[in-house]
Amino acid sequence: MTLQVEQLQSGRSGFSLGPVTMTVESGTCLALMGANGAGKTTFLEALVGFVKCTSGSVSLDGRDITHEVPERRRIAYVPQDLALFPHLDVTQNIAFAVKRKERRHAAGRSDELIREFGLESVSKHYPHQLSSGQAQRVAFARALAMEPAVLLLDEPTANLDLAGQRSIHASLRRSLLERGLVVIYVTHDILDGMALTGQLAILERGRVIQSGRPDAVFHRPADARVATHLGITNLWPAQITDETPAMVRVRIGSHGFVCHARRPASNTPVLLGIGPGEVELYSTPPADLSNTLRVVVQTLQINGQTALLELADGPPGLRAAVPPAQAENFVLGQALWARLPADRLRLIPAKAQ
Amino acid sequence: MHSLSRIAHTIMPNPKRQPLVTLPLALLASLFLASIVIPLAVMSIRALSSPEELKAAVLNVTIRNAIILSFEAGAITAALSGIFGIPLAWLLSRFRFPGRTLVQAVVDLPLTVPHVVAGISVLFVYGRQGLLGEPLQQIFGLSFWGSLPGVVVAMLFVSAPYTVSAARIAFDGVDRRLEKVARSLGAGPWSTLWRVVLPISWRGLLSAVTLSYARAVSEFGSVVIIAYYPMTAPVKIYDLFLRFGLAQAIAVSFLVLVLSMGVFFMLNLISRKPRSFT
Repeated sequence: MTLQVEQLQSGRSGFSLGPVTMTVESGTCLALMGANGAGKTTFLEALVGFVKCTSGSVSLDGRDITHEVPERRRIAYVPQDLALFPHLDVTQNIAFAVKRKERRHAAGRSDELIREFGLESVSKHYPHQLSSGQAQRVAFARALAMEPAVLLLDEPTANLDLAGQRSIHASLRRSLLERGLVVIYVTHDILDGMALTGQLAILERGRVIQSGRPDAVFHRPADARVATHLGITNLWPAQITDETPAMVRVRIGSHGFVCHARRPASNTPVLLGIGPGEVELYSTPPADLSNTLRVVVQTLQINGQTALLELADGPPGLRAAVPPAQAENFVLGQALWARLPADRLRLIPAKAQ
Repeated sequence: MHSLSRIAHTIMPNPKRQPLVTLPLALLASLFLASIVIPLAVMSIRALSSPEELKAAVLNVTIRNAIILSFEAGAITAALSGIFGIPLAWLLSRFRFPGRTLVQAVVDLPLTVPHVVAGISVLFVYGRQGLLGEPLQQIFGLSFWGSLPGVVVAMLFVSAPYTVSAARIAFDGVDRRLEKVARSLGAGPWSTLWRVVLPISWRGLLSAVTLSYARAVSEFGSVVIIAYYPMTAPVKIYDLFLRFGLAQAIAVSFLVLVLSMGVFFMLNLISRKPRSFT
């Protein structure tokens, strides 16, 4: 099964989507990222048929479904709030999606999915009696009950803890492999987006500004907007001072760095970028002092599973993110060694190409 | 729903902690409630203090017939307002179409018209020489003048807006995303209406029809114009009041009050039964 979107344009309430073109093969998960208002939900709703397409086409295995009614598209949609039917219990919610001709066997089909998603203990519960993770699994099971060709998920892990996210990833992986689905998955979290192999697309103002394999996009962002969406927020205008096939030397003010990334097209102004989580911090000088700076802790903020530090004396606005356990050893004003690994540094075109 | 009630709980002041704010409000609310309860209570006490008159009213055939006619016409009106009003409420709730605001205004119009004026308007259409009244009489032998159909059309005119407005609120309360998800899961528009929207909104819809029923049963102004006879309960009370004075009217008024409130509370009880899924 292949989902093909060709020059799709749509719009509502003054917002215009597209043109968007993409192809997603069965067994592939496309993670869709973008800021709020970038058009992610509108795109999903255009695919499922809730928003009319003004031009372009959507096809499934060559069958044009652009103007097909939502119920005939075989595209299951799981919105961010899941929209479980409040008047139906878990079993009934799942049985709702069983096709009419198979409804005689609906109970059997629902039971299979209830077992598969570990919902036996809550099968007679109503949605308001479920935890976030259970509700999420019910929404998945319900979507799969209609045997869709495409599964659209709008931020499925937004309200879940790490364990819940892992459980969702495992379910998705299984669905992808066993059922050969096309999955399009809206997320704000790059790690979430990269957890499932496949494709990554960054949407901004209704257009895809970069797409490709997640690792490729992550390591070679097309511009600063993409980098920022991916959490690469340490971005500095850089001057290339030397270049060999294996490495590029760059300078940011008085700081010199070596990076293994390929430079963008020659004569293009570049930014040097690295994610805060990729910056390595040491209390004592590391053995390898390449790309290593002496910095001072300016601010320290522990935020859930991450401690975010602002560091002075390095490139302007340098930030690092470390596990809270490591941050316990740091105090404000403390001098540290910050290493910007050469294989993590990216050279990003300063302007969109 | 849950989060809204949590927010409400968070932002609503505790009455015990803010007496300066809540006391005047409670006083105003009490005055308002008293203005409704006191007249009905005084009338009920007066009626109960004369059990013979009450008994005579119960045993009087014309009074019994008037009360039965009121409830019968009210039930027919409520059913018709549901049949015609609920689809219109659905259209107004779910579709944006040219003239939608005008349609809403037309629906609400009878609420602003004095009921005697409504009766005269209905008379022009359904009266013996009315726009529809005359052909319907000639073709089907259906007469609205001084008959049950006349009582029903007058009641419908003034009570249907309540059904449409309340049903629209009931439909508005159904999350559109549930419908979208149902459609994406393979349910067509009718199936979605039947399997998702109606099971969630039926209590609201029943409330809408109940409101219309309550309004219809209590209608006097428009009914008296098109059908003085056969007498509905309000017309009978008015007739007794004109002919025999207050004392004669009180017993019937009390009977109508008790029966109306009984039916109304029963219907409300069904429609307000706590919902297990919220």
